[in-house]
Amino acid sequence: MSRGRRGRSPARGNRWRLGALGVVLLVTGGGALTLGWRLAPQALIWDRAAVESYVAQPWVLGATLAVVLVIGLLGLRWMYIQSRTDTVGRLRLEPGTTGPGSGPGPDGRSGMPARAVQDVVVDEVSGYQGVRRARARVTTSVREPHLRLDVTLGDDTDVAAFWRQVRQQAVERLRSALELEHLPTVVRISMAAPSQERELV
Amino acid sequence: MTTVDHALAPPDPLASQRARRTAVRTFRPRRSWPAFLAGAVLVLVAAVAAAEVISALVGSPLRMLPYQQAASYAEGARWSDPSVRVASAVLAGIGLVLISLAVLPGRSRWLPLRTDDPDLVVGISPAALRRALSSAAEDVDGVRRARVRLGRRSITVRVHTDLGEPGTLPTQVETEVRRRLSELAPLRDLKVRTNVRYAKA
Repeated sequence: MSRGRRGRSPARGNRWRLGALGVVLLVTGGGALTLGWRLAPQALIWDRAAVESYVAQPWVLGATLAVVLVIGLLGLRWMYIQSRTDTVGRLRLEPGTTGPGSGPGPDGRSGMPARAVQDVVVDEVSGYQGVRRARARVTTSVREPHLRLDVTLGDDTDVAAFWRQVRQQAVERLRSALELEHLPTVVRISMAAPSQERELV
Repeated sequence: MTTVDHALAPPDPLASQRARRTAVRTFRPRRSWPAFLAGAVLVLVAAVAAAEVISALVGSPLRMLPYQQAASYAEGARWSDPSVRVASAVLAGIGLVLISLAVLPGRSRWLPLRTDDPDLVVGISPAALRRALSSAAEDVDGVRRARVRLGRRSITVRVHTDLGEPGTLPTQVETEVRRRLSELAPLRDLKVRTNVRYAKA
């Protein structure tokens, strides 16, 4: 993330593909409009004899099939990317790294369930002042994980103090436990009304 | 650099700039629904076209599409015909919509906050920001109720009071809201406007 890595977020790809598809449609529609307006308003849009003689050539149907299959596969892949989640189920660790639940995974390599890491972070962050609810997810990559933290804070919580505490304690501890150089983190903050307890006080 | 050094050191301008860019990119809308729909349309068109081509190749055309009717209509149509122009304009219009979806920044579900750290992205939900600021406004003596409206570049605080005359209430509310806003430090500069409703005399 910090070096321009965007993980598996499809945001940029979506923009490029939507833009490219938009350009194709705009050029096609705009071209047809220009033909009707200026270039060849009286020309026929469809020459049946020419089309049928073209389609009769043996390679045309095969080439058309190849093109529509490619377009269909690209469309399927595009749809699949939208439904894909960026969360990671298991972390791959450097040999010698210890952490909650660490040990060889099904593939025999040293690893740790992401859930164990998430639970540790949630336990720690839930103890910070003003935190009502917390949820952590390990995302992006098994080797270079990112952390995503969703929290609900009281509406009078010092937000800057909260995220500094997250950076200096929860993230720093996890980063050093996992022996990572960087642990890019995204914190998403919601807020809730003051608790009953506080109002009574 | 240790965590403590990191917290105490003045922010590196390059790192701040990188942090700002990363935060904006992280919370940029993904355009998942338009992308999913565009992918689905591509798949549908490609599937129908592939079925037609394959059936034609094996010698028993499916004729799912009214090819003959379409061809006989198109045979007599010219580029300047109103229906052809409307169809072209619709195609170009869809293209423009897709391009604008790709190019315009859109409204994010999270407002990025300034952290000056490329490895830590913090976002607050617009509802949370409104809640924090209305809570700050309600802390001012004399304010009965406060509502905050969040615009693209400004915040409007509407305050209801039981006081009957202006006094310094608007200034106090504005100062308190600005203080809370500077504490939260949104990446985007937001102007504060205050609108006080006094009790009827």
